[in-house]
Amino acid sequence: MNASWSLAVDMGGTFVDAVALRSDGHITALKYPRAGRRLAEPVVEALDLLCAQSGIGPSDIGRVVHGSTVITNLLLELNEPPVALVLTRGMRDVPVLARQDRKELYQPVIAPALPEAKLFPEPLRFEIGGRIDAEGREVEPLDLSAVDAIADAVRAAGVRALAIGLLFSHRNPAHERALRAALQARLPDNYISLSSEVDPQPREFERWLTTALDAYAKPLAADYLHALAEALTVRGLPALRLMRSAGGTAPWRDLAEQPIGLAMSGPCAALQGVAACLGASGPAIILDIGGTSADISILLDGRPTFTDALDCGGLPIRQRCADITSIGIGGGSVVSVLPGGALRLGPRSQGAWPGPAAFGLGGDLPTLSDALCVLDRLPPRLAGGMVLDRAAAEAALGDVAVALGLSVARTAEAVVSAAAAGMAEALKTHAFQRNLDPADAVLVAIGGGGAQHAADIADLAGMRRVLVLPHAGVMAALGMLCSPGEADVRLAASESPWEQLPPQGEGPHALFTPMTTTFVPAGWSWRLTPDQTLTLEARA
Amino acid sequence: MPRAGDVAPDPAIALRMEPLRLALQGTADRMQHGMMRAAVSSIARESGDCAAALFLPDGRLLAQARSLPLLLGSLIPAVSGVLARFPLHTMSEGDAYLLNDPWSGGTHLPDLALVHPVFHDGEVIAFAAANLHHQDVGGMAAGSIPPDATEVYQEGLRLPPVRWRSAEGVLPDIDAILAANSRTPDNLRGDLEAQWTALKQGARELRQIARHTGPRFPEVCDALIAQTERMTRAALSAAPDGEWTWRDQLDGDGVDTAPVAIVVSLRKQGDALVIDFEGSAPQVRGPLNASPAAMLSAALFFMRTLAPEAPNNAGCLAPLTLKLPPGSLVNPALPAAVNARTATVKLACNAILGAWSQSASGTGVAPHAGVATVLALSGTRTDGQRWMFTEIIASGAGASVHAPGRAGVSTDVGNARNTPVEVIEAEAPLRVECYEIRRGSGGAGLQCGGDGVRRAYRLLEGQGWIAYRGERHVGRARGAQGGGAGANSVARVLRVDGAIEHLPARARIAWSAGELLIIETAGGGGWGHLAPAESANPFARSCP
Repeated sequence: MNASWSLAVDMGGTFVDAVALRSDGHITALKYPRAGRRLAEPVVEALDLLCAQSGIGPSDIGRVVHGSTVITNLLLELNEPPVALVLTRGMRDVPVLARQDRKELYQPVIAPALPEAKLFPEPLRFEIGGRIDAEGREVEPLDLSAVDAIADAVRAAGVRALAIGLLFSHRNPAHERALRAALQARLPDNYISLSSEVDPQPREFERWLTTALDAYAKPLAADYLHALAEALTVRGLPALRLMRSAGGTAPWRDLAEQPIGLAMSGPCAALQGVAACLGASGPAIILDIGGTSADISILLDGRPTFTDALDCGGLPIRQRCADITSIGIGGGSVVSVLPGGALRLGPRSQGAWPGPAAFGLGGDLPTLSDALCVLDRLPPRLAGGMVLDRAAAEAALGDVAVALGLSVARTAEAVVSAAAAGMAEALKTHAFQRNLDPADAVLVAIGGGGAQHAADIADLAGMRRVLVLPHAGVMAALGMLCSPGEADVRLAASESPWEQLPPQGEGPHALFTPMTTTFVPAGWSWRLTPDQTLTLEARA
Repeated sequence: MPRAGDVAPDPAIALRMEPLRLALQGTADRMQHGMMRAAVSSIARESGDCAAALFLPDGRLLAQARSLPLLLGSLIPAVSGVLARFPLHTMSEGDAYLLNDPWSGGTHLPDLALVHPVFHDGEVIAFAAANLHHQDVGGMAAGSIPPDATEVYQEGLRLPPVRWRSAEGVLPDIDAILAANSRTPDNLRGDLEAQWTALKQGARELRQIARHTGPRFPEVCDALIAQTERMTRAALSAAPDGEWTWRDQLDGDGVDTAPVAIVVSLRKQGDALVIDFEGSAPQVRGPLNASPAAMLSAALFFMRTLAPEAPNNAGCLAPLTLKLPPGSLVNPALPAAVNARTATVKLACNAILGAWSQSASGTGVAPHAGVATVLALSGTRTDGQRWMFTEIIASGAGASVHAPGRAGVSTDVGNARNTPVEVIEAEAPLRVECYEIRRGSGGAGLQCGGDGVRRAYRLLEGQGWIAYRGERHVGRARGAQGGGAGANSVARVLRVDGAIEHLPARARIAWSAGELLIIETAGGGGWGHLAPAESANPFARSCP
């Protein structure tokens, strides 16, 4: 049968995950190391390898879906060149003044609201006359006489992208469009984002910042997506579709035009994947723990919930997206002790590189994964064949143990409890703010570390049941093929990921499988259910 | 990395500390969210003028929500006030106590504090507490913050600690008194219920936390407080001993326009600190007096900045002796008017920062301008429809040795957000012509003080009133370590006939369609001497 395969590829921080799904529900998957490269190359290589391994030819493939952390990482790192802003006269400082409040109440030195110099320094913030009122009526015509000077300045600064933000453009975009036309005529090679297109909603600071960040991401996103689409065309594959933050997929050109819509691409796909695996069910809280962060979200009636605001490294972005709280706790989170003996986990992270001390890649700072290693909660050999160095983990935790006055083993316990508490608090806050008592929900663990901490967290949040799904490790890639509106295929894993495990048992016990480590604490039991879900339950 | 103290820690306690700290912080924050979501009045719901915290049975602070420092600090004396009137053994499950009396732990009358004992296995293990700025509690003016009040009796209903609720529900007698004394009784009842919602959520979570932490819950709480005390004392020890005094002034007391002095001395010896307001003006006729509960917010704010990473509890106050001379602006005798105490608390807080900036502790900042301009605009459209809106406009932050001050930001005990231009223009017949940084208004120095902001509003139709409450029209935020002072606040109206009318720090004036109101808020203090060649030139600045 022709075109019987769908391919999905998810680019994360450490691995590129590729999944192929046949129309009969058969799944094949692989993890391909990204090796620090950011752009199209590793994605194409992962697809080539998956097709070669599974004997899939170009004519067998009906669609290719891609989800990416490229935009997320770009917004976290802010290493791109700044953009120019053209704003309503009198308002050029609005993006810098932000909402006038501060994040850290008690820090003596008040940090800037956002990194102005990296995003849109003062000489690149221009003003233009003309006003639309709250009803959308023009009350002062657009003053295009300033456009030549702005274009000259933008050209002289070597800026590649501009954002246009005018007051009340969400009511009437005429001025923004006229301004774009005038600027584009003078700057044909520049990317221009309009606030009336990126985020047509009231409240100028949020709209303009979101638009500025869209422009900020555009040059790199366009280069990357063009290269990837080109590589697929060369191979005779179908046109690339992209996973959007707001759920569902769209043609790649739409997102090259508006890359801010990719900011939560990967996490949203993972949520869709869980929804597809669980089907209709009671309320579920999804916990996805990776190397640098933990994502928390909710499924109600089997469906993801959405929101209009997200936070990316402290930058407020107003876009429709899956409602996910992300906190900076993961396996690579660094452990420290403050003067006075206070233990803290994060916010600093060793991430995937150089990683925890136990990985032996050159990291020597104590991390959460090192504490897990010391407690024998990680297998001696991780996915991908990495052998853990337990002595290095103990050495790394040594200073922390001295500072706390505890043994290394006790210190490791304290670190793991602190991690669980931090994630449990974020989970409780996320749930209660959405009118869900965690006690009424089941906890679904995905990602490399979800099942490691899930039962500890459930205990703290008053939850009694944890589900670990098969394919928990490649859930995002799988979710891209399960978008609403895509062909509805029931997933059927070809082999059980749990086959080496006893079908049931009592904690404390660490369950090691090739893709996932599940920890069953004292007071909890586990059993395998016929749908290949690993279920953990608290004893009464 | 630091080493453990002399005492070998008990692993059973040490293991539970960080999880408990996180759980208490999360609980307090969720109380705050729950209260804001349930609140009826926009001042609490939108502006967040409310606060939640947890206390131990002996009244020590255990954790605070990350909300408004102005209100957070004041909950400490409120809980003490309740305990003084209702000893622990008289309390029953389901009780809640109410107070607003500035002479029993309250601040100003619209802030009602509600305190709920948390029972677990028949014992009080903690208190959940919340205060909220209510829309109206009676008195001579709607809103219960009369700018011309000269005694507390004009400001509304004064409540010493009273029982508001028992296990059977709200006590009908007190409910009747409250409702009869408010112009908006439904809001008062609804907002009290919002506070109660927060306390119930806090109590429920605390019981779960206590179960998890186990029978040694009180010991782990004590260990967290001791940890904060250690961290705060360590920060104090790291600074040199000495005594530093800072003088500042308010632009009048709200009724009289003569400047009112605020003087504070910091005496630091070893790991202890005295903050002494001796020398501050006697209590004033107008409503700018600040009760001890209000002043504690300023002191607590400063103590928290010494070790901002420490757990959020009473431990940071242990090294502090706070002296508030009786009968003064900062500890007035009955029946002083107190409703406008925010300006006093903010200036007092910045005076403490100013004094500390002289200490060469390495952690100092120059005083923030500390002005939260309250602007209330109202009027009548040509079709007779009335409109009104209120906003808070921030000023410049002080510079530090590390960085210039931030422009236009809420500082010290406040954290109000601005109002978007698109919200203002949709609700009122106004055009906001600019919202920008008032460049050059921060104090000069090696690091410049943060600039104030400029906001300009044109009235588009009909007639209107401007009610303006600013600060630093006369006084300025002085710089630290030789840095220059920030610019004064300025406010003016451009009349249709071309005349310019300057507003004083507190004003209520009329304006008409076509006229323009321009508000420029003060700059923060600069840090460090300029080189002589530069300082000789009044326009020279060492930073852009």
